[in-house]
Amino acid sequence: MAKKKAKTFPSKELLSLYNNGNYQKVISKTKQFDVEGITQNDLNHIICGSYQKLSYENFQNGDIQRAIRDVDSLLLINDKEEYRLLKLKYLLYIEYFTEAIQYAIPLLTSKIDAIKKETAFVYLLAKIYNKEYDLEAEYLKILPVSRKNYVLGFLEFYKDNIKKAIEYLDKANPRLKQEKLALNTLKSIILNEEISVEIDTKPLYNFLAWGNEKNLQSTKNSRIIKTEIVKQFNEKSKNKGIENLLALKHSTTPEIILEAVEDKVKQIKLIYNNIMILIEKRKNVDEALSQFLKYQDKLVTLVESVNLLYTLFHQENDYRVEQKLLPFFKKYLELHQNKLLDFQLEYLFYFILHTISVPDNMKVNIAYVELAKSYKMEHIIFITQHILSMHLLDVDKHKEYFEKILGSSSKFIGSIVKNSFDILNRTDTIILAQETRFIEDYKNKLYVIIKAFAQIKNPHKKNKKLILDVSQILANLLQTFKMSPQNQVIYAELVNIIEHYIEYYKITPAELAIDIKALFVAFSTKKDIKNLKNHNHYNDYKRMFFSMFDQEESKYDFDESDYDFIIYKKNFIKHLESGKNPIEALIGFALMGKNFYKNFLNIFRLLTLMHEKKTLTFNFLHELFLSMDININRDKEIFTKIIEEYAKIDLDTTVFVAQYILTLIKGINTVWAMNLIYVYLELFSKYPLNKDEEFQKNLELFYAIYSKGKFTSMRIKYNNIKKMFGEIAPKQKK
Amino acid sequence: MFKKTPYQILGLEGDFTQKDIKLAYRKAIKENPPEKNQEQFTKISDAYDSLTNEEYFLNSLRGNHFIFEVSLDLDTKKEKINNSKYLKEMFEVPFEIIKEDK
Repeated sequence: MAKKKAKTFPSKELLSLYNNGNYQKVISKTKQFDVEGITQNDLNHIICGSYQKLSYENFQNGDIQRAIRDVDSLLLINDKEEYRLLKLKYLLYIEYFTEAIQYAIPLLTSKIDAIKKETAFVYLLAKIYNKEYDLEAEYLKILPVSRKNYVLGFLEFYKDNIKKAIEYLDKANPRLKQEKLALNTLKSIILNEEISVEIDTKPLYNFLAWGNEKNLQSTKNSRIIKTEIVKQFNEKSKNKGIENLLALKHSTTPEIILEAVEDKVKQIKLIYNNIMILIEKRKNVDEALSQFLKYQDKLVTLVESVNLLYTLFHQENDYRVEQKLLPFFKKYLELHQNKLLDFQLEYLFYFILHTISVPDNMKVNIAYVELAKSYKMEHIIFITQHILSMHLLDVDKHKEYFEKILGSSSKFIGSIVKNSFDILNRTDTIILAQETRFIEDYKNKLYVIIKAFAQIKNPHKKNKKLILDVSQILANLLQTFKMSPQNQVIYAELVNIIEHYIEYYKITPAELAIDIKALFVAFSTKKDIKNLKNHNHYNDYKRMFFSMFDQEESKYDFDESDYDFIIYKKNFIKHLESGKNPIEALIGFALMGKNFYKNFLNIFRLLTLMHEKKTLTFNFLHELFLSMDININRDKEIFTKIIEEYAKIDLDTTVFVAQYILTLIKGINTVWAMNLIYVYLELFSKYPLNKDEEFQKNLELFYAIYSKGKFTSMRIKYNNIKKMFGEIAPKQKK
Repeated sequence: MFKKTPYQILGLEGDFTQKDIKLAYRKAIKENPPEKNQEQFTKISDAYDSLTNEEYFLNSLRGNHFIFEVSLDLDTKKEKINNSKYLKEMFEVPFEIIKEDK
């Protein structure tokens, strides 16, 4: 009967398994199948290679018994000395010293020098471990110097001659860095020295030095010793952990602290320090916070404990733990309130309400707000939450908080108020995009804030900057809304209080922000000058992007000199009322800015006031022009423009001033003189004005200059005037 | 930067009041006048300022990690692990003689 033919396995797949490191599979396939397409020699080579790798892997994993089995299988296929040497080493590791010595003897006579030397080294070590200290000189002689010294050093160590052992080991100077490291660790172990820096060295040394069991070979002895030594290292690490913590070198676990330290107060202090080290040294804020939460009941007894939270939340403040910290703060305040000064309490509540608790977690926030109220910290609630959310309280309440805040000289309070108002200041760009009811609600709340603010007459003298900042923000926000008749009252309140502050703090115009100047101008001219059409989200981004430019300016259709005019106007009126020469109030005005046209337009507004009171005279204008250094020849073109423009605003004053100006051009028979007269005469055609004597005189003057100069460029204007006021021309010709 | 807590520098712990802070400060500077120990005097003054002056207080919160100075009688005399004893009982080949055949 024919023998059943074994199934075959392709050599390609076998090689593929080998190359992929599946040595166990290689072995099992060769046992199950005939491998085709490969010579027996090559197959043996693969099988031997696989056993060798497997035995090495098993050795590395600490399973020397299996490693030896693999080598035995290897030796069945190929009884090479090289493989026998490998088995010899494993026998040593498995601590079969007697067997190892016997197994080594045939190899000591090997013809291969390297095998002979390596065997001699292992053989001599086996003898030492087996406490056979009569080492053969012939084998010592063939060893390289470093190994010879090592063996002799080890021998002395076993004989308890530590000094001599170290002397020999010092002479053993292996070339490889890793071996040098291993030798140094070995010397430290022999000397029972502290090895402070953990290094990657031989598994046994790692274990003996630090209790690290990684890759430690599993032998009978090691299993017994391991239990004992691990226990000792655990004990040691407790002390080590506390030592490191005391020296602020390294954090440890709170459990170790509680176990190692009996004193309750010291326990808490060390838990506190441990958390600080976690934050500062290890930057492990998550662990620090979790330890804080776990031991908050103990930590709260320390007045310093809140510092941990300040430090923790300074690193990272996006923790959703507000609810978990509520009992801590309650207890903390209960225990330590008497130790804290007002500013510390204010800071603590600012921290609680600004950093720990956020209004979007309503339930918890209410609890924190109640806590703050019970410690009379309403003003901190007002700063951190009410201002930002524009929480509507009554005017009196707002006033009370403003009084407390602005009456305090605290820089900290000032800075947080400024922060809150800065955030509020940004709302003007978004509020108008909301639904009407939101806008109305916002407006009402803003008015309450302004009304309350407007009642603070005596803020702290040190709060000038803060008052200016808040005034500026309120001025900006207020101007978001059109100045309707009903809004004028609130405008007036804000303007009045700012004017009060200007006097109170002796604020100069240069110190006033553009928003405040704009508010004054808007209020004075009854015009909305804030350019709201630019306020949309797109422009927000644009503003951020182009922040290097003065975007504040672009918010208004406004010239800064407008504000300065208000100051002059105020003084001008005071002078008029007190019978003083009002021109004195304008000294310096003409020098301001370079825009004469703009300046004169402003002056015109003052002239209107005088004209209304019938105090405007040609003499006054003469004096004014002199004091303003107005030269008709130089500024003629501007006057034509001023007459045209200002007539639209105040016709009577314009006519009066124009008549004065035309007195200045007597005897000047030029085109520009004609143009100036033309603009004046044209007013009588555009508007229903009484053609009085002055008009007649100037009309005649126009015709006279034209007939003298025969200016062809003026023919059209001449014909226009003739059309408008024709009859008078012939009279002039006479 | 680790720094001893201001309360601890002034020797304050347990139950005390704001008044005690002042008293503790006076006592501390009396015991440590600048001519005797300038460094300690500065520490005491800084600690007091950071508890009573708003600006100092806020500055002290920046970048300072307050810790306690704690002393302990640790049982450090515990016998060291006698690793050399175990070395004799466990075999280790000193040099890299176990090498994978190439």
